[in-house]
Formats: sequence, C-alpha cells, structure tokens
Amino acid sequence: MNRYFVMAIAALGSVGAQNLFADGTLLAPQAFRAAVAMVEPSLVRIEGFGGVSAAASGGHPSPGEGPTTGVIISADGHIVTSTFNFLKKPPVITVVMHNGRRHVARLLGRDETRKICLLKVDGVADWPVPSIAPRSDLRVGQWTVAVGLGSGTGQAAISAGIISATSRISGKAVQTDANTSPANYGGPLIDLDGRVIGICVPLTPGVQSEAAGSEWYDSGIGFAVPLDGLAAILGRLKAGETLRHAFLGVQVQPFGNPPTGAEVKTVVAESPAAKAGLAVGDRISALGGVEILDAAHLQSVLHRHLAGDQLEIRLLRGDEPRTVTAELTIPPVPAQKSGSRDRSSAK
Amino acid sequence: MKSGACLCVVGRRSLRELAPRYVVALIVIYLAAPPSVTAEELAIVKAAETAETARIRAIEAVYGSVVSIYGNERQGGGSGVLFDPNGYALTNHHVIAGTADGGWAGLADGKLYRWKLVGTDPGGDLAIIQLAGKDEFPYAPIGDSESVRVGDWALAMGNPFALAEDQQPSVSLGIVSGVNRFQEGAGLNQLVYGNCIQVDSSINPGNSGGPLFNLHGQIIGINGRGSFEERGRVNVGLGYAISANQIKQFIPELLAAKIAQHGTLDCVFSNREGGVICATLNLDSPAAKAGLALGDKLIGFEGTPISDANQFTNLIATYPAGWPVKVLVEREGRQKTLHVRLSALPYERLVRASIQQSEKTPPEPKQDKGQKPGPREPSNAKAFPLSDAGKVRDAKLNREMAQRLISQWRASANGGGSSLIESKGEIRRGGQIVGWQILKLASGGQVSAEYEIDGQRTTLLCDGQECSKNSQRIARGKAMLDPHFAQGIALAALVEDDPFARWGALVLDGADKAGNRWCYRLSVTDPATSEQLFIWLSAFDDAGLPRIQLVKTGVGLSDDEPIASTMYEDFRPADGSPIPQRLTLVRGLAEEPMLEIGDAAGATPAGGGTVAPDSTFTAAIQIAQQRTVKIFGAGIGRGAGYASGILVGPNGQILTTQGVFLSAENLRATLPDGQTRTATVVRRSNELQAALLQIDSATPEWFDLSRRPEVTPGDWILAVSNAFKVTEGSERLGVNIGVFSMRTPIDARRGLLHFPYQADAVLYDAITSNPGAEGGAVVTADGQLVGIIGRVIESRSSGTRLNYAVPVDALAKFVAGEGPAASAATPLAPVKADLGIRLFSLGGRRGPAYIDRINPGSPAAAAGLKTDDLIVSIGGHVVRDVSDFRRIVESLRVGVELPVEVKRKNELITVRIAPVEEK
Repeated sequence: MNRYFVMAIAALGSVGAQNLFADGTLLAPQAFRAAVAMVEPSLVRIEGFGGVSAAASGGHPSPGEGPTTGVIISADGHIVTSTFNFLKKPPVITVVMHNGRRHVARLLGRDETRKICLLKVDGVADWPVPSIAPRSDLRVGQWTVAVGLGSGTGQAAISAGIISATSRISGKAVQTDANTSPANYGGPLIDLDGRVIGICVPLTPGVQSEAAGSEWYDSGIGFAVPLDGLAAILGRLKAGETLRHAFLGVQVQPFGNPPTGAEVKTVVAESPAAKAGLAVGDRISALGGVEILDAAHLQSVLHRHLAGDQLEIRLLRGDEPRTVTAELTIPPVPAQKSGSRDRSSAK
Repeated sequence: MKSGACLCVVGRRSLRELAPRYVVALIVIYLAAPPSVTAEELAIVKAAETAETARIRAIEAVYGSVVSIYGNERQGGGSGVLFDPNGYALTNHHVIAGTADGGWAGLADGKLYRWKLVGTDPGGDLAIIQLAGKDEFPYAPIGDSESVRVGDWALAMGNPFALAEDQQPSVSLGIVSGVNRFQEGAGLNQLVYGNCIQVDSSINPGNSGGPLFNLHGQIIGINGRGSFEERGRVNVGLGYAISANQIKQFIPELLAAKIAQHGTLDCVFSNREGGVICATLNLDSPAAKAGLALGDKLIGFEGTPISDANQFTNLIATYPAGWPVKVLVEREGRQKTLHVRLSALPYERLVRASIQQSEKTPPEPKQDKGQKPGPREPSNAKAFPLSDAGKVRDAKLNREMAQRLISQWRASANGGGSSLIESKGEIRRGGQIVGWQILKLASGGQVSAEYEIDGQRTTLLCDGQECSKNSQRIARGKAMLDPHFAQGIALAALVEDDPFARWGALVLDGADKAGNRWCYRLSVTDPATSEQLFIWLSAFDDAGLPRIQLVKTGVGLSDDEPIASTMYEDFRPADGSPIPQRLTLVRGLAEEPMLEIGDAAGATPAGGGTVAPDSTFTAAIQIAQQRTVKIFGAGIGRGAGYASGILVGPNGQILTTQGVFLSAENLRATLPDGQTRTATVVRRSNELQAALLQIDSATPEWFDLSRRPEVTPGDWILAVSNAFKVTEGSERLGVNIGVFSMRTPIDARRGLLHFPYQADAVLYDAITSNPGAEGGAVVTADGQLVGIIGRVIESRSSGTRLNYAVPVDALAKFVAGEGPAASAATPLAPVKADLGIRLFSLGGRRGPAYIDRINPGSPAAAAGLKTDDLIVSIGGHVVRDVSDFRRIVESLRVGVELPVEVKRKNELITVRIAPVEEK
C-alpha cells in the first residue's frame, strides 16, 4: 500500500498533465477494485429453473440461459435486473446473496422499453442497498465499471470503460464503452465511488424485441438504465405493472429548412393519433412540451413516453395552432407476427 | 471497515470543483475523511479521479467540434469534426459518397445545420464539408500524428449506429494499438489507408469520419475503418484512423474544392540485395528528369529513413499529387538528394458494383491481404466524377476560399487600419552585406521596390495602373517576375481592401509545402501576360490551429525555376501591421538560400506544439512485442491460416494455440525482427488447446514461464497479437488494453463442437476473440506474462465470445512436459451413484428438476426429501433442469456426502445426502 501512497502523492503534486494521466492510469485499477467492493454486497446472482425450451435456437443454448445478475434496491428485498435474464420465462427463480445464501424470488412488473424488471424476496430485512449516482453528476469521459455475476463462478466479472453519452434511447439509458453482455446484463454500471450509475441492459433504438441489443455485446456500445429519477417507474413495477412501448399512429416527414417540426404524412386508422383528431398535413411542433426538431427527433421524443400515457401534442393546421391530447397505446401486432404466434400456440 | 457513504459525500463533487488545485483538494479530503478509510486508499482513488477529471475536461473542450453527418433526408449517417471556425469539417470520402454533396449535420448543441461538400479525396478516404448557419463554429486543433505512440490513450468520437438522437456524440476510450499501419484500398488507388493509426477504442459503423483525439484534445486521426468478421458489423477491437499529418497535407487541397489525387514517383521500388531498389521507372516522369535512375537504392524519403519497399509504399500513400518531396538515394556508394514534385496517381472506374448508400454499409475492411475485396468506390457519386480528379470541382467555391484565406491572413496580421507600409532592410549573402532594399506599399495599388545588390541598383514602381522598371514602362505581369517587387505585391495585401484584384485572377491552387510547413498555395494570374505569382500561406500554426501566415512568394513551381522565390519569417508589428522582419531569397524545391534581406539576427519561430506522449504502457508493450511472433500456416474453411505465438526459450521455442494453421507443411514463424523461420510442432496439448513449436534460430528475448505475476481484478492487461493478420514482416504487433476480471474454469464450445479445454482461463475485457490473435501475449502493465490468448470460443451459458488467456502456470507445466494443469474435470466414478430420486420427465430434459418419486429406503428418503420438491442445487452446482440433474448425479461418488438444496413451496431447504451404489 505504501508504494501506491507515494505514487499518489506524486500524481497529485505534479503540475504536468502528463504525469497526471500516467499515474492516474496506474492507480485506476485500485480505484476500480475499491468501487466494486462497495457495490458487491448489493449484488445477487439470479438463477432460473426450467422455462421455455432452447430447442428453437438449434441446439445452442439460448441467450440468458446461464446465471445472471441483479441489484438490491430496497432493504426489504426488491431487486432490479434485466428482462433479458428471463427470456426463458423460468417458473422458479432464486437469488444468491453475496454471503452465499439462496432465496426464492418472485418476479414483479417489467418495463419492456428499458428492459428492466423487479424481483422480490419476501420476509427479509436490512439488505444492503447501494448508493445511486445522481444523473446530474454524470460526465462524458468518466470511468465506469460494469459488474456482473453472469459468468457463473461466484466471482464478479468486471469491465472498465467510460461514459460515452449521458442520454440515449429517448433518454432512457446512459451509454458506456465498458463491455456489456449476458455476463453483466442486470448488473450495475458503477462510478469510482461505487455508486450505481445504472443497470446494464441490452438496448437498440427502434427495435423492441426482447433480446434486441444483445447482438452488440462487448462491442464498446453498452447501455445502462439510470436508477436516479426512476422512482415512479419502479413504483409501477412494484405494483406488478408491465410497461410497454408507446404507439401514436402517424407517419411523418421533415418540415421546414432547417427543420422545425414534423409534417403528418399518414394517420393510422383507429390509432391514438386518429382518435386525437390528427390529420394529414398537420405540422407537429411539440410532443409533451418538447419542441420537435424533425421526423427522426419525433420518434425519439415519442418513445420517452409509455403506452397508456396521455400525450399533449402541439401542432399547426394551416396557420392555426392547436393542442390535442392523445392516449398512447401499445403498437398493433403486425399481421405476419400474429401468424407465427398462431402456429406456436397450435402445437 | 470501508464506508461507501462517506466517499460519496466527501468525494467527487468537491474534487471536481477543486480539480485544478488538486493538492488543496487532497488536504480538504484528508481533513474530512473519517478514520475508517485509510489515507492511502483515499489518495489512490483521488489520484485516479484527478486524471479522470483531466480527461473529462479534455473531452468537454472538443465535444462541440464533433459532427453527426446525415444525408438530405436525414438518412444514413457518419461522423465528422470541425477544424475551423468557418464551419469546415473533416469526414471520410465514403461518408459523403453515400450522401452526395449535401445534407444535415448535427452538433452537440442539439441543432441541425446544413452542410455542403467542399472537396474530397477518394484515394485517401478524406473529405471536407462546410456547415452553414452559425457565425463561429466550435473547432478542434489538429495534432502531430508523428508524436503518437503505441499505448497512448485515444478517444474516438462520433455517432455510431446513429445513436445520437440528441446529436450528442458518443465517446469511447482505448489505446493506440499500432502506428504506420497500411490498409489496402479498392478499385484503382482508392480508399487506401497509408501510414494509418490502429486503435482499440471502440469504432463502429457510424463512427466513420469522426475524430480520434489524444488526451490533450488534439485530433490525431480520422476514424474510417475497422476489422470486422463473422460477428457482424460491430467493433472487435481493431479500428483504423487516417493520420493527422496526412490530413494536414490534404486540407488545402480539399478546401480548394478539388477532387484530390495522391502522389507517385512513377516508379517501383523492390526489396533486393538488402536494399530498396528502383526496379522500374517511367523515363518521362519528373523523378527520372530529376535524376532518379534504375538501380538506385532508396534510403530516405521526406526525412524518414527507408529500409523496406512496403514501408515506402505505406508512406508515399499519404502525399498529395504535386507535393514537393526530398528523395535520398544511393548510387555506386554515393548519396544523392533529389527534389521532385510527385506525379498524380490516376483513378479509374474499375468498380461500379457496390453503391454505398449510407454509413450503414461502410466499406468492408481487409481481412486477408489480397484475398478479400476492400472498400469499393461508390458509383453514385455524381458530385465528384473521378474523371475530374485533380481538378477544381467548383470554381466559385475555390475563388471564395482564396478570398477567405487572404482575409484570414489580413485578420491574423491585424492590419490596424494603416494604409502605408515602408520596409527597409540590408541584403546579405552568406552573412556579408551586399546591398539594401526599400519596399513602399500604399493602398490603391501603389507598390515600389528599390534595391541595390553588388552595386547594381533596380527600381520598380507601380502606381496602381502602370508599372515601370528603372523608369522604363513594363507590363504588370513582367513586374511580378521580380522577386523584390513581388514581395511588395504580397505585403500590399495588408493595406489593400481588395488585395490582388488589380493584379489578376486569384485562385487557390491547393496544398503545397513551403518552408517545411503545410501550406495553401494561391496564384494570381496576370490577364495580359499570363504570368503567375504564387503565394504560399501556412495552413496551421504550431498548435494545429488554422492560423494563416505568409510563408513564401515566387513565380515558379519547378526545381529548375531560375527566378528566386522569397521566404517570409519573423513577423513583428511595424506601422500597425506585423510585417516580416526577415526575408530570404531562395532557389528550387530545396529552397536553397541565396540572399537574406532584413534583420540578420531575427529569431526563428519557436517549435513546440508537439506533445510528449503519455507512455504508461510503452515499456510493457515493447517487452511483449519483442517476445511475440507471427505464425503463418494453412487456412481451412473458417479456420484462419495464421496465428500468434510467444517465445518461451532462448533457442527458438514458441508457444501457440491449436489450430488448422498447424497442419501446414510449411509452418512459419516471423520473429519480431522480421526474420521468418520454418517451424515444426514439438508437442500438442488437447487439454490446454496449445502447441509447442520449434524454430531453428536463437531467440534472445523470451518469456520466462517460471515467473507468475500477481494479478487482481481490475488490473490493466495488454494483449499483443497479430489479430486479423494486420502486420507482416518486422511490423510491430498490435496491442489491445483491458482489465483482468477473474480466473475460472470455463464451459465453452467452438461453433457446435465441444471445446475440450481443461485448465482455468484468465478472463479480461480486452477484445482478443479474433482470428490471428490466438497465441498472442497477455501481459501486465509492467510487462509480465499472464498467459497466451486462447482460441475463439463461445460460452455455453451465454453464447457470447470469451476473451481469455491460457494462464502462464498451465503453460509452464505443458512446456516442461508435465501434462495438463490441475484438471477441473472430476473423473467418472467407477460405480454409478444413486440418490434415490426420480424426476418428473414430462417437461423433457429442459424441464425443472421436480421430484416425482423418492425410492423408499434411499438416501433421499432418509434425508426427508419429498415428491414435488424442486431440486435447486447439488454440491453447490445449480440444477437448472433435468439434464443438469442427470449430469451432476453421473459425476457423484458413492459415499461422499454433499448438500442438496430443494425448494418446497416457497422455502429453500438444504439437506445432506451421501449417494449409494446404483442397484
């Protein structure tokens, strides 16, 4: 330890940025370890028993088959993890604490847009809860460590990286270049103080299937859903709700140069947009109070909301400004998909 | 006991605010620290955080300069970086080739700006676009790629996968894996990456055209390619960036609104008789006319010693056509320096097949040299027909740029509103005063130059309309030919409102070198005589910022131009305008000084601008590179015909992994010095999936396998290998960085096959699961061997690729002939063990392990297990389903008691059971 102490003083005392980077680099591993040690007691290894057959993936184990990771978020046994970990829909779930004790857990609600869900272990108290990094503290370029118990050995797998972006996927995620994969999906992304920045999940913008995003594992593009500001969502998950992607029902094109909104090209019949009275040619200028830049931006802003939300839409019809409210629904099931579902239910 | 909470409270925010005064921060934290956290621990964390804060600030300083580039319909997407406040941004040719000549650009301020194409370089995959809509854009300085060292931290920024809905770029951190890399192009002379930088900072589709920064916030390259393979189009730890110095060479060419071409000496050099020999030569070429002859041995190019023909090919790929180069050759034992302007390499529309619609399909990288097609020339590029290569594609844009450069020069000279400049100086030859010169310049086109050299006096006068020499009227174009008068014309720009307008048409010729600086070359053409005056303006200051200064004027571009040119130095204010205090008349491309005008004691501008590399890992990387070899054999199907290996003894012992390459008849190992030797397989290990090879050569640098480094989770590891066969010969192997995660047995497969590996694996987060990386060295930050990179495998439980090393202790036993390291497999029991449990089998092998029946009198019955109990674990092994149960029971030993955990209703119950012999 003493050796490092001397180095640390050298780093702090030097005026050159050069030594700062070099010594900071050499000391970083100890900072990583200290941070991991702080969060480790709050991690659980999740195991699922039984579940959907893996035969569909051609004999290969399907993703999410091995043990996975969860983070304790309440002293009375609430655990947040990734929905990726339950692709097999196991009927029985247990969690193993840092001290090796196993508990049976119940699956509560899930947020399909963030790929997170809640587990509950009943009849426990005083479970260690990690501290949470405020979102406003996050800086692009700060160290991150992704921690997971998914390798199945009881040891924590760690990967170091930085915050690549503080707001991604409609603001629902932080982006990191630490490796994220089934080894740490459901586990925490932490800062050097051992505070939880977010929960590692596989995500891809625009794609809503359960495993989407896992194809980017270990690619330097990783996502973590921040826990800060998530109280309302977690409350709904505790109540067992399933939160789904929002559907408005308009196709839009850019409007103006530079773009100052999105012009409605088509309105899906019976959709929330149709019910709210949106018409072809309307120029949407704001969703939920957020100014819309262009068509692509509209999609991003829309997906900050969930199915069931009331969404205030500001628009221009001709020169006349209007405000309407739509109640967002879940996306309609595409015809092809419903077909395949029929087949699977038939067998 | 550690207290996490107190670190949170006292920690980072206060540090951030105090970061520049970190010593103060340390004291504050000491005082505030509770006794439960040791001062040492805090100091370590804080030192790491201070470096972190410095990095965050470096990022913040340049974040605004990063551009997300889209087409007109906001489709596709790539990245770019602003290097000039006027909205000029660098990107890749292949990015703009997919979006034509205009579109939208997003900046970190969340806004979209129009962009239009200025110039492009299909040969080097570079382009410049201009953003509109803001008076002054944020921009970043361009660094010196020659000072980039392997192991330096590098930050890649851009818009991978078009994730930036809010236009805020993504930032990824890695290290420089290699320098002087070559990545083959496509078609004829297109998309070649010469002398480029290899990085392990994550670069994905969409990052193309974006900047690679050092930790000082300087652009060291433009990211354009990556090595990808069957995992699909995601980063696997190998990205390539066009080097900053190539970029600086091409910026003036691209700002001239040209379709740039690359340069050639119009000859072929080959490695022969231990030298780089001119093997074929176009006798009409400028190089031949400058004196290059067949058989000449090339020993230097632009100041770089040349020892290999490939090295020269790599280097010259970064120079634009027309660039003046210094070539050092040896003929019959005598050295000779040639100065010649490079000829233009042609483009041809050889490849029309592939249309790059967007960054979603960026060019395929090279996988095997000469085997796979590289990136292809987009054929939809109507905005820049390759038949117009070398030409200005937009004359209006070019003229505007020329005017803008003159204005920028005037602005940087800070005219001060003076309308008259008078400059007097002595003329020296070799330090001896041989005459004097007086220049007088006034607005309205009045220029006079009066000088006397060796007693001969000349007076040139121009009143804005007519010119005279020694009282004889001469054409204005002829007056321009006098170098002293030309100085007056150039400097008069500082007092003229519309400089050069009365002298002729001003255009930006493009990139050129003058006074050893990257320059813009402009020309003024006299309409009556067609005589031209050339003006060289520096493109960058020493800090890599776009600061314009006058460097040179002259009337000729060839090496044998008889009329002297003038070099300008030491700008100091005089009469309100900083004017050059030292002028030198020079001759030829070598700029040989002939006469000096002005203050002989003038100071040479300070160098500087270069940044000492952050060399934390340099020593460790060199140790590993000196002990790691490239192995070449035969490839079969998906199995790569190449790998890496480490030297483990002084007499040519090499360790590598198993692989199809070993079956080659001519298995070869290329040593770090470039020597290639035939290798034979001495021994193989199925359990380690390793092989010991022997070459007939002394190998003085080798890894001592008896040394076992202590590695702790979080420690840096460096992986040195020939992933994707990026290097050949003596080229240094690439390096990837990561942290050590754990040492553990693994359960893995290769494709559908079982992976028979029996030892522990060292897991880390560097990406090494790549063809060719197998057998490479994994070392600690102080260069100690951790193990060799294992074969490409997938985890059975997650299906993901594992990045791991075979640990050094297991390797040592193998080399010593001791067989595999402690085997993790439990040998099969000679007798079958039985617990007396029958499971529900309706759910199949994948169903949960619910107990259907307990055999009466069995150990399970004695332990109190019941029907409907769910077996959760046996002996600590998880029983996820029926097949797990069967597998585990098969490995049990009779009579050895072990815990069995079951779930009964919502309770977990653990019992101890000793299996009996199966009846």
